[in-house]
Amino acid sequence: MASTDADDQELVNAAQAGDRRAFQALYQRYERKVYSVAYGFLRNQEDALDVLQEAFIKVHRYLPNFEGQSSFYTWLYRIVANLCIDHLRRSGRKRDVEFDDRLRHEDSDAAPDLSPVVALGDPSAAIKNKEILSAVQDSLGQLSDKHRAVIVMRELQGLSYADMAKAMNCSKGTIMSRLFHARRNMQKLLSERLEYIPSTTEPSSGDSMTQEAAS
Amino acid sequence: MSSEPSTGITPNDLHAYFDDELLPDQAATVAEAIEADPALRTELTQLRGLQGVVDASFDAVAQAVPSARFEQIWDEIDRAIDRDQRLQAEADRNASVWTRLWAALRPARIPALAAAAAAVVTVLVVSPGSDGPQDPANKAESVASVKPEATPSPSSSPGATPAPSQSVPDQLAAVPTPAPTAEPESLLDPMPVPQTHEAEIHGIEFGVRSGRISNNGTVTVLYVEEDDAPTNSERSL
Repeated sequence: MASTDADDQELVNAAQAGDRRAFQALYQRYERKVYSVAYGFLRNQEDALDVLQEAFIKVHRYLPNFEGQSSFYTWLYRIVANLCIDHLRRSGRKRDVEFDDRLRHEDSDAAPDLSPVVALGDPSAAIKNKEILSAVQDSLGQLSDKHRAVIVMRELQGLSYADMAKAMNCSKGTIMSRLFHARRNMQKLLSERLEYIPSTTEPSSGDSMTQEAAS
Repeated sequence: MSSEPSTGITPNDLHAYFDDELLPDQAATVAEAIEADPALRTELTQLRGLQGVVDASFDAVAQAVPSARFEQIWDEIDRAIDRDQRLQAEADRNASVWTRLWAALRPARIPALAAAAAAVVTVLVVSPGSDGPQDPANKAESVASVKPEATPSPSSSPGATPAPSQSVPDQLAAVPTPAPTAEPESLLDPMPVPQTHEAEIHGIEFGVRSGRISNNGTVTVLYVEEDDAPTNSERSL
């Protein structure tokens, strides 16, 4: 659903005045986006849905304090990101990301062969291929939590460097560097996976396959 | 792009250009370099390709969740909001007049308490002599003599009275601990005795993050929140 900040603000104002339907409209507008972000962080459907639920309960609780200084979605996203990070910590899935990052940066200046990624053509058509979807998701899964977080925030949500720096509590310079290495790692992992897929340009199946791969 | 090309454009410049993070003049410079350098063009195409597949893959993952599941989540959210509002309404309803008044006076509490404390200190300092300002030479003696006058003690018994020439510190040291029975009531019980009503705790659950405690007819609603601050830390990732 296309939405603008102005539309959001109208719904936020109504929800702040106690209009439950307006709040539900906000939920419906962002349910899948928030789920995607949470899934990007957590890599688990039920955990991502839990975060979705928790995030909107929290949003409603603090809605009276929301003054619209940032866009509603930026605010919502920060809540989601914090909940996800908290969830990762609680579930003991936190990895030694410093080591993980260093390991993968060692040869990151060497450009990977990205022709298989470029050969995918139209991404939304290509992703209908179960193997390609699986390759993309597996590659994301192999990134460190920090790298996956910047990829999710930038490629999926289109957040600015400044917003990402705020969400990750670091400098813009750190974000730029991390994003560069994250993309480079992702390209490398994906290229390696795609090399073994016979055809990366022919969508072989429909939505049922994406559903299977996602579950 | 494996290294900085001859155009002087760094990988970070190219990524920032792709992410629309450059100032207009910087962006124009990078655009010119891209025009002139096929390697930069290829890199840009690859960045677009990566963004496209990542975005499409998450879209596919989100679309794979049935709408009914999202509706189910909404129902849970709806119930949680109802529960929050019920608890709040109950807390508002059960608040006594005094509690409401106390809450309404919240902004004035600290200045009022400070003024009251200042008044008490003034009374304590000025009232013992009740004779107004005294000769500083006599002041220490009069302060030291306040307690023995007000509280009969073993030292005041015949034969135990200190010599008139005894110094003030000696007098203070010579004052024994008074017998409790001889103390005025106000000194025996300087603090209010806490009431011993038991607080009733009703169903505080961390999972639902709310609960209430009632005591003497007032109900306190609790919202249990986790501290979000540490999650802002980069290290938490």
